[in-house]
Amino acid sequence: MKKILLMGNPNVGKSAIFARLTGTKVMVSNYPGTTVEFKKGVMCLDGDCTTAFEVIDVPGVYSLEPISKAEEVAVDMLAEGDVIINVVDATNLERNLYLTLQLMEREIPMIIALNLWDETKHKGVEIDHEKLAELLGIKVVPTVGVSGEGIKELVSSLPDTAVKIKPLTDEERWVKIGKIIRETQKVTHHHHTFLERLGDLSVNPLTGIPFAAIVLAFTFGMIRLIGEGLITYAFDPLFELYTPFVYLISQYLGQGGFLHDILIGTLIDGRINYVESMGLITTGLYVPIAMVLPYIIPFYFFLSLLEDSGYLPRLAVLIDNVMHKMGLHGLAIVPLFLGLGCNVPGALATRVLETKRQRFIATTLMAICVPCAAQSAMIFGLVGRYGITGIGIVFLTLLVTMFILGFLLKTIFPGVSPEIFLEIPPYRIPYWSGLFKKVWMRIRAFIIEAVPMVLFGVLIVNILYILGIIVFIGNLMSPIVTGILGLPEAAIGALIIGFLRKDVAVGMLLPLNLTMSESIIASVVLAMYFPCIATFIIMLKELGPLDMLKSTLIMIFSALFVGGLLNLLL
Amino acid sequence: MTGERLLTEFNPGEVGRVKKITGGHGIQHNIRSMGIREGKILRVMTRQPLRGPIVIEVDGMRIAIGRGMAKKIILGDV
Repeated sequence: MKKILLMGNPNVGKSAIFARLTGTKVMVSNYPGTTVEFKKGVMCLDGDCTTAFEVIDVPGVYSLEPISKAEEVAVDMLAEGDVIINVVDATNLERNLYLTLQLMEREIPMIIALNLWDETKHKGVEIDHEKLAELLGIKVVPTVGVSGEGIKELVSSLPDTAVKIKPLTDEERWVKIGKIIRETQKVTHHHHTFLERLGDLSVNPLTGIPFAAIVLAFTFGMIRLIGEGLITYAFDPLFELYTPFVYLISQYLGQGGFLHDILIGTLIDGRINYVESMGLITTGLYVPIAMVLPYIIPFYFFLSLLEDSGYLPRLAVLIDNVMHKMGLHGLAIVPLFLGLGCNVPGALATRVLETKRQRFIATTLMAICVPCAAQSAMIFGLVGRYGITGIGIVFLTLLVTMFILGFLLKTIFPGVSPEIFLEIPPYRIPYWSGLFKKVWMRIRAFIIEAVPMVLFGVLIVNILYILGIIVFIGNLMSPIVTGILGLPEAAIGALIIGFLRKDVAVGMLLPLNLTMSESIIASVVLAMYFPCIATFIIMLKELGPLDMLKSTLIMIFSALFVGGLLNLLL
Repeated sequence: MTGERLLTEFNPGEVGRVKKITGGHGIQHNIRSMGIREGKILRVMTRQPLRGPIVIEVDGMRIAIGRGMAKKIILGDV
């Protein structure tokens, strides 16, 4: 199958066009570096798919001399392409043409998608795209990726042959671009729009820092409000409908025995308790669906909203200074932020950073100090019983640990710290259908990937208990767990299951009736000592075995140190 | 305000024309491929405190640049 490469500068809308061409569901956001690994899809030109192309969504690059790992991936892909669709930001034609000329020198058949065409009007940019095509010698199609405008024409005009141009020096390229711009583009003055003014206000430190505080407080407030609302009015009533069936099964199994222990779990005072029974079809379903999912839904909605609006790059600028103290720079906010949803995409997103050292620090800090949404939801449930103070202490401890640990890592692992050099895209009103699709993709991924893992986790818990393995390891580990951390021996089961799934692990603490300080210590230690198995696998792939070993040792040490310290203080 | 100054010496609201870009080949290349080149007019939007990055406007785009890199950009009068 012939390969089409979608190439262009970062944040010009390649992924939106990719989704249009292939129908494949991909993430589209409004910050440079959304796509850090290439994605493949198939585009059929006819109904029965006899003529088809493989389309590859390549991470964005400014030139063919890569500066980050994501960009290296992009340049390596070039060798495999049969056709290039060069996606060009029509509102930034001049800068985008540099890559265009570099790509043309590779003599691969190429067509230009002049994307974000709808934005040129209110930016006061006028482009004669026919003249542009004539000067470049290749076809140019104006497109709007998110709405699909121009995509049909783009597909029907895919070229077979390359235009030969002679390789130019840097200097010559810019001269040529200058000439093209003069002949094809007219820029008229336009008044700053409300969104532009808001954009500048939110990156100005005086107004931007209060703005950030309001945005974050509002976001977390709303997530909690919506999450609790969903639990009370939707998911708990749903489980009330389901309860009679579970009792029926429990009766049928004789209220005890091996199968009952696995499926229903232990009856608490003769009743099924969805939180404490620990059976597959009781706790195994209740934890992911009625305790975690209600928070996952609003969380991903707001995360996606922040991504699509273009706020993240502004946050990156405001926080750049702090990040430098940890050997990182502002853009590291992207993986840390995504990690709040799920650590797996967070670990992948560290590829936006330039050096191996930055990626090591960012991944390690995320694995230790950023709890995923599922884990946070359960911490809300566990520690929230004692009010907002306990939750505050947990998250504040993680935050402070991140700063101190980041500072230590920066000092222990010396190396250069590249600076931020980041295009800040304009604020965009999210394209709602695209936004909802993205939220749905993320929720679906949670249901498909996380729910079975939770069930598997609960199954393992039951089997390990029945075999007496948890008690055995418990005795072995009790000096550490009870001695250093001050937790009851029964918490060891949760720590073992935490290797698999963090939300199940926190859930296992619920029946133990821990005190407030024990709940806080257990939550913090569970967050820090090891990532879940899915994150571990991705980290191993991204960091390599040696760095992963270092990272793991740092995790265990940090968890014991911070947990022990909390035990002394609380 | 006459003569040449480094981008780091500009205050928010000030405008200058790029005269020269210094530094190694790689850095110069990165700066130019982001659209900051000799002859371009830059406007400083904000300077983050404590030697944080500078946000500039060039050709209607906003770009955040660390101080070290901003020192490599020499501006003159418009």
